[in-house]
Amino acid sequence: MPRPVRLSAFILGFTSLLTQIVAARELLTSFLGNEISIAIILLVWLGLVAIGSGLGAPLFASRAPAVLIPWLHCAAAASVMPAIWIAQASGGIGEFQGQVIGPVTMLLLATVALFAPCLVLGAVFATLCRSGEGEDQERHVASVYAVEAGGAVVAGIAFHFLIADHVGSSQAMALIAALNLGTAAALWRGSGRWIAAVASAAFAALAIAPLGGFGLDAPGLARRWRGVEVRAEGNSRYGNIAVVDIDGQLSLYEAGLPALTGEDVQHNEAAVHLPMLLHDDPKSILMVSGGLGGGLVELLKHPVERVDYVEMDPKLLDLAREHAGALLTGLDDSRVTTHHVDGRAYVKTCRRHYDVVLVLVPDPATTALSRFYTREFFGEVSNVLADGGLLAVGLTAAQARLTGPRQHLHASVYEALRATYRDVAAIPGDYTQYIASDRPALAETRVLVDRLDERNIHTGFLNEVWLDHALGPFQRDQLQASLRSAGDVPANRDARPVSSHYWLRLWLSERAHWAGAWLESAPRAIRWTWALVPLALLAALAIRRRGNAMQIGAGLCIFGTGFLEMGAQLSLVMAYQAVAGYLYHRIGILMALFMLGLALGAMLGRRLGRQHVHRTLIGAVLLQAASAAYLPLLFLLARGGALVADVVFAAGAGWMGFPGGLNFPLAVAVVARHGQEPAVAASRLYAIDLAGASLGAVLIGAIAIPAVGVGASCQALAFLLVAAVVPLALASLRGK
Amino acid sequence: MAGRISRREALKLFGAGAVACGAGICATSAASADARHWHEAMYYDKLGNKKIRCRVCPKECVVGDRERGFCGCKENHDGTYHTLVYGQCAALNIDPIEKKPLFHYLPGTSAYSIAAAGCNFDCKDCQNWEISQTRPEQLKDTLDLPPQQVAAQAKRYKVRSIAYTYSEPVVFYEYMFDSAKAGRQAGIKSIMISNGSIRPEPMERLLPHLDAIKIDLKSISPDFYRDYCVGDVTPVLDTIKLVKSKRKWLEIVYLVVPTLNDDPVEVRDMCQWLMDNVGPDVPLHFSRFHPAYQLKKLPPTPYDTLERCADIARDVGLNYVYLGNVPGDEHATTRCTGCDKTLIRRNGFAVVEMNLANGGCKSCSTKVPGVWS
Repeated sequence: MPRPVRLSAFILGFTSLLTQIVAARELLTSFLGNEISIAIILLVWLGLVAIGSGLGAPLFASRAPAVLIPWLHCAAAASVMPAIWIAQASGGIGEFQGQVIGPVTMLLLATVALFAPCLVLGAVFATLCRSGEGEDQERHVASVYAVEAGGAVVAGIAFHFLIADHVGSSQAMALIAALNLGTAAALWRGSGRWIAAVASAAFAALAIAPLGGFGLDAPGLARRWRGVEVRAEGNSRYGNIAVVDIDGQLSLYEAGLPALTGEDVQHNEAAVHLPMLLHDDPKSILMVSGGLGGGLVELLKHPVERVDYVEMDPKLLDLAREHAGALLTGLDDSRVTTHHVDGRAYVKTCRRHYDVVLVLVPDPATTALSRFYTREFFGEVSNVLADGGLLAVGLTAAQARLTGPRQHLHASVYEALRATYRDVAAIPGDYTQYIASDRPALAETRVLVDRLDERNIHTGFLNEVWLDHALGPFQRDQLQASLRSAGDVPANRDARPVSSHYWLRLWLSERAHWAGAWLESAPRAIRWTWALVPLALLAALAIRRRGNAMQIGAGLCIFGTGFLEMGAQLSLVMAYQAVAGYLYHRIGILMALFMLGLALGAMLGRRLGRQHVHRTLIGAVLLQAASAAYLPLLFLLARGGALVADVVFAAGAGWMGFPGGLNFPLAVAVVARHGQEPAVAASRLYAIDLAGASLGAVLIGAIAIPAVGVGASCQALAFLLVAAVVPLALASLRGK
Repeated sequence: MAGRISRREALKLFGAGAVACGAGICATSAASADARHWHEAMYYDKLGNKKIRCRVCPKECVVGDRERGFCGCKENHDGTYHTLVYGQCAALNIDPIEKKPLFHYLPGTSAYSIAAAGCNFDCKDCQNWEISQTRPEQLKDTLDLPPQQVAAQAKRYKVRSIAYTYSEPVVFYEYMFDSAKAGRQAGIKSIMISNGSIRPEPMERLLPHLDAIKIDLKSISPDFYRDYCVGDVTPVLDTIKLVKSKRKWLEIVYLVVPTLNDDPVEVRDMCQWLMDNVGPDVPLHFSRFHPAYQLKKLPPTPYDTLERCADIARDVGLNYVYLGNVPGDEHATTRCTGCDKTLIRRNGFAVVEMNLANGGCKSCSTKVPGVWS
C-alpha cells in the first residue's frame, strides 16, 4: 500500500470518527437528546456516507485517484466547520422560542448539517479503494479498510483524553480542517504540484490559528440561543452546559434543556419536604441530583446531620460558581459532602447507610436516565437504607388523570419499586412521588404538619391544605386506579428499560398520536424476527444464477454485519452504563476499541481472503450471530464490579468490531470473484454496511432495546444474521 | 448490490415494509369511538348533502359525513352531529378552588373537577395535552360518569361546586350543560374553567346554569392566538364582555410565557382592555409558566417578570391582581381597597386568614366584589 494512500486512509478514519462524535454532541444539544434523536443522527450520518461511497465510485470513475484524493481532502476540510455551525444553529429552529422540534424536522436539519462532510467522506473511501494500481486489489481494499479503522482508533483516544473536556466543537473542526488540508498538501507535494501544496499548507496553518480561541462557535451559538441572554456556555465530558439569564432569573441548561432555575421553590418544596416529613428522624441523607437551585436549601431546613450530595458533572458546578453563584446555595454547608460521580456508581460502591434517599434525576427520557428507575437500582438503594429508611423518586405528571404512555411509564416504575419494597406510596401531583420503604411509607397528614412545626420549617407553598390535597384518599385512589388500569406493564429493568420506551411514545405522541401508537405496536414485530430465516430461504431459492446468488448473499451478509455491529454497540453501551455509570466521556474509548477490533479483523480478513472465501465468510457471520445471541450474558459477567465491567466492556467492544473487519474483505473477495471490480465492490459493500448500521441504529437503538430489552433484541439480531447468511450458504451448496 | 436483481429485490422489500407499516398505522387510526357514548350535539346547522356546521365555538367547523371537527370529539353521522364524550370523564379530581385559580369565589372550598377529551385550541405549552389534544377513542380508560352521577358524586363528597376544567369544556358543552343543570338541582354550583372561545348563543344559554367562570386570556395579540394557540382572540374578548354583562362571577388568568407574551407594552394593552371593558374589580391572575408539551426549552417565568406584569396591572387601575405559583403569601393576598387592610391571606392553596364580614371589610365595611357564601 503506497504511503500517500495510507496517510489519506488514516486521516479519513480520524476525520470520520471525530466529526461524527462532535457533530452528534452539537446536534443532541440542539435536539432533545433521547434515543430517537440519537438514532436519527446515526441514520443520517451512516446513510449519507453510504450514499457518498455508493455514488463515489461511478461518479469519479474517469478521474485518477491520485488527482482526486487531495481535492476530496480539501472538500472535507471545507465542509466540517459549516456542519458544526448548522448543528449548533439547529437549536434555534422552531416556530417559537423554546419549542422542541419534532423528529421530521430533526431528520431534515441533521441531513442539512451532515450532507456535505458525509458525502465527501464516503467518496474518499470509494476513491481510496480504487487507488491500488498494480497491487492485489482485494488486499488493497482490505488494507484501506484496516488503516481507516486505525485512524478512527486514534480519533477515539484523542477525543477521550484531549478533546471532550478541553476543546470546543468548532476548534476541533478547525483541527480536522487543518489535518485534511495538510494531507492534501503532502499528497500534492509528493506528486510535484508545489503551488497547490503550498496553498493548502497555508490554508492549513490558517485553520489551526483559531485553536487559540477566536470564538469560532459564535455564529452557531448566536442562533441556538436566540432571544435569551447566555451568561456562559461550554461542553463538559457529559455534554453541553449553559447559564441563561431571563429577566434576572438564572437557569442552568444541560444538553439544551433547562435543568434548573434559581426560583423553583414549588417543585423543591414538594420534592424534598414530603419524603423528609415522612421520616420521623432523618439524620443521614443521600441526594442524587436536584440539590442545586434550592433543593439543598429546603433539605437543610430539616435537622439533618449529614447530606451526601451526588452531582456527576464538576464542570456544571464550576460554571455555576463563576456565573450563577445563587444556584449553589446550600452546597457550602458543613453538613453537605459533594461527590462528583455517577449516582448509580456511587450507590453501588457506598458503604454508608441513609435514613432518606432522594433520587431527583430527570424523567427517564433516555436509557441512561432509565437506570435510576429500574428494579436493580432500587435494589441497590435498599442496601444503603438504614432500618426504617425510605427512598423517594418522582416523575412528572399532568394535572389531570394519568393516561396513555405516561400511565404506562408511571406503572413500570411503580412495579419496579413494588418488586423491591414492602410498601410503596404513590402521591399524586404535577410531580408525582413514589415513597418506598420496608416499613409503612405513609403517615397521617396531622403527623406531617406536627413535624413541620416541630422542625420549625417555613415554606412558601407546602402547608396543611397542600398536604391534605396531596395525601387525601380521593386523589390517591384516583392515582392507584390509574396505575392498576395500566394493565400488564412490566417492571422497569436494566436489561429492559421500558420506562424510556414509554417516554419515547409520549414524546412522539406530542407531535402525532399515530406515531406514538406505531411505536406501541412495533415491539410485536420484533418477536417475529425468526420468520426472516424461512423468508430468506424462499428468496434464495428464487435466485437462479449462482453468480448473482453469491453476490446478493455477500451483500446481505455485510448488511447484517453492519446492522448487528450497531445494535451490539448500543446494547453494550446500555449494559455498561447500568453497571459502571454514565458513559458519555468514554464514548471515544468505546469507538476506539470497536475500531481496533475492526482493524484487526480486516487485517486477518486480508490474509484469509485467498481460498474458500465464501465458506469463511459464512462461518464468520454465524460466529457473529452466536456472539449476538450470547451478548446478554455480559450483563451477568459485568455485575462483578466496575473493574470487571471495564474489562468485559473493553473485550466486548473489540470483539463486536472484529467480525465486521473480518467480513468486509471476505465479502469483497466473494463479489470480486463473481464478476465485479474489487474497488467497485468495496465501495458498494461499504455503502451496504453503513446502510445496515443506520437501520440498526434506529430499529435496535430507538425501538427494540427500550421496548423488549437487550435479551430479545440480541435474539432478534441473531435471527437477522442467520437469515442474512442463508442465501450465501445456499449458493455455496449449489456450487458443490 | 449485484446488478439489477438485488436492487429490484431491495425495492420490493422496502415496498412490502412500507405497505405493512402503512397498514398498521391505518389500522390504529381507523379505530373509532364507541357508538354507545354518542349523544346528539347542541348548536349545529344541517347544510344538506349530509354536511353540518358546528355552532358552538367560533371555529364553526363545516363537517362532512363521517368526519369530525377541529376538536376531534364530535362526529357527523348521516347529517346528525354527535358528541362522543358525553358522560365520558377523562380526568377527575377534588381540587381546592384556589387551585383553579378562583380567589373571590367561595374561598377555602373544594370543587369536584371533571374533564373530557378534546380542545378547540392547540396551545404549545398545554399542561394537559394528553387529554386535550387526544381523540376520545385514544383514551383507553375514561370513566363512565353521566351528568346525574356527576352531581350525585359532588354531593357525596360534600363539595360546593363542580368545575369543568383541565381540557376545554366548550368542546364538551353538552356534558357540561347537563351536569350543571343536574348540579343546580342537587344544590351544587358550577364553574367553568375555559379559554373563552365560544360563540355568544351557546354561552348565553349556558350562563344561567353557571356560577363562576375563569377565562384564560392568553394574550391580547391576534398573532399570538393564531400562531401559538391556533385560535382567535376576538371571540375570547367577546365572551369576557358577555360574562360580565350577565353579572356572573368572572376571573381572568394570564399565563406569562417568558419571551413570548411578556412584553410590557402588550401586557399594558391587555390590562387596559380589561379596565375599559370589565372594570377595575375583575381579579387578574398572572400565572407562572412551566415547561411542558412542545415548549420544553424555556425555563419557568422569572418572578421579576411576573412582578413587573402585576405592577403594570395595578398602574392601569385594576384592584385585584395576583401572582400564581409564586412562593409566599404577599402576592396571593386580597387587600381592602378602602383601608388597605388584609382581607384574605393565602398560602399555596390554603386560606390562612379571613377578615371578611357580609362580603365586606371587617374594618371599614368596604364591599369586596366576589361570591363569598
